[in-house]
Amino acid sequence: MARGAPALWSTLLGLPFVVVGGWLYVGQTTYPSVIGLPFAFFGAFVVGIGAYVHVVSPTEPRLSDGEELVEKRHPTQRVARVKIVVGLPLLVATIYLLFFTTVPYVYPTATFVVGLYAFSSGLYTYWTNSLTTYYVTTRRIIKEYRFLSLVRREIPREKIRGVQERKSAIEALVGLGNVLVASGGGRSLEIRMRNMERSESFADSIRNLVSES
Amino acid sequence: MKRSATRRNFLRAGVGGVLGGASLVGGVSRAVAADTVTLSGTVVAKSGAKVQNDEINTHWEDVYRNVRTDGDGYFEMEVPKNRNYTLSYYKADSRSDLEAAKNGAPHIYEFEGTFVGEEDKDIGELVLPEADIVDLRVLKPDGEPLMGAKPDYRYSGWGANPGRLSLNTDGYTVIDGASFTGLELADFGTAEVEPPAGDEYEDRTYKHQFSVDGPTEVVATVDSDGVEWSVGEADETTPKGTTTTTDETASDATSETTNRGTTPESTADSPTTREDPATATTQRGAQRGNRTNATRTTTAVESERGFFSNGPGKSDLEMLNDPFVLTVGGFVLSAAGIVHQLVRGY
Repeated sequence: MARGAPALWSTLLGLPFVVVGGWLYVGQTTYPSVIGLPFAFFGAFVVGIGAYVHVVSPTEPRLSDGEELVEKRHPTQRVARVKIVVGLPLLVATIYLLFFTTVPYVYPTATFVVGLYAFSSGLYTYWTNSLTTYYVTTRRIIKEYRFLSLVRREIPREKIRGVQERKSAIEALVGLGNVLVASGGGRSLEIRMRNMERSESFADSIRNLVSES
Repeated sequence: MKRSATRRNFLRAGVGGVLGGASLVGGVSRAVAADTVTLSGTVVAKSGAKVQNDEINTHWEDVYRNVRTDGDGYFEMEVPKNRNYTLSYYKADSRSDLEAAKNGAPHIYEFEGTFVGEEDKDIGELVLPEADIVDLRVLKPDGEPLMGAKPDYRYSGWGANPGRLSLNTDGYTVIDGASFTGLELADFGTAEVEPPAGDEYEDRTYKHQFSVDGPTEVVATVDSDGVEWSVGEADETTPKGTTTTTDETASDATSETTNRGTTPESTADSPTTREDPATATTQRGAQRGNRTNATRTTTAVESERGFFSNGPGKSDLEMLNDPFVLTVGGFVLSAAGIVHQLVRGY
């Protein structure tokens, strides 16, 4: 089961599309009813993927004898929330401009493109964050992601060659950071942990792990 | 002396200029006349209705032209070369462009545009879709008919002949002489209502777009503040007031049949009621030339939405003038992008 309640939140985000699609299909006569279908299908898509994300998540890594879990983290959903909050008003504006005014189509198209990009990007970030987990154990660093297939990347403690922290100005303002763990074996053995709250303490726990080895 | 010579030279130059200009205009006119080709086609109705003596309109820029179909639905007209043309259809009879007949063919319809190049062009068969009755009812807030209001219909900018439409005792729109209410339209349309003249109502024309998925009833409830529109399925079993029936209602489809290959009643450059959206004030009816007595002045702006601007001009981005294309395109791209990213991994 994924963390949080992606099924609930996805349903809350997808249902308005289904409702608008239903209204366009049966509740208005100005436009052909078929125009409600793309809205309804997109809403159903959001609800469906949310339900799938809710039930699919990586299993806990199996720890070997003597191995202990030091820290377990998920990317924060703050970035996803911001994107969705930015996108939703633009999509509402699109509905208004498209169906309740007769302004040239370029205006609803512009709000639709920007709004849908922000909203979709937010949803994607929300779902991937829900499916991503970072583990620090006494012997390795693990990043797990599962949507259809499982992707598990890990770096043994003794191969860690560097821990890098990165914060953009905006990330610093909102209290987020990225931690990059490099193995010295090239990019294929890097683990990039994004959008983490209290990234300093997480980086410190990795550094402590390295210094103990 | 010197002054008279100057005057003489001026007059000679003036006369020469006028003659030269006339020659130039004549030459250009002949050149334009020779620069035309024949656009022809055959209109058939999906309902099986006979498309005979009906009116085919075309326009390019601000020039309109119309001809009638012969007994086989065939028409042809002379048009300038190398232009895009929009063709519209009016279910007409020999006396009017709005026939009081209900046969499943739309009263007004617009076909897809066509380009006519250097050669004569036969665009083949143009099919009229099945149409349904669209009743337009105009009421006061108390449910009584708003007598004196002037109803009208449009399809893609092409208007019905308002001089042939009136309200019956229940407020339903009737074609003069028809034994039924409403007009037959396919796909969609625009209802228009102009309230009675006077201080009680605003001097303007109210418009409302609607789609046609079956028998449709559009009700305009007009008061001093504006209009409230409602669109629903028409109940064809309910009596719809008294309609005026005269001997003229009989379709005279058999009269004035023309032979294939001729273009009967060709009225070159005759204007039609297609509204120019860019014109804020339109004298409808007058556009119909001598075929209608209506001379109402309205303050209507036709809402023909374009991509970059509203208006009659055809744009390269015309395909985007469809909310369905926009929404399907956007949502499909978005969903595909999300799935791709989710599958690819984080």
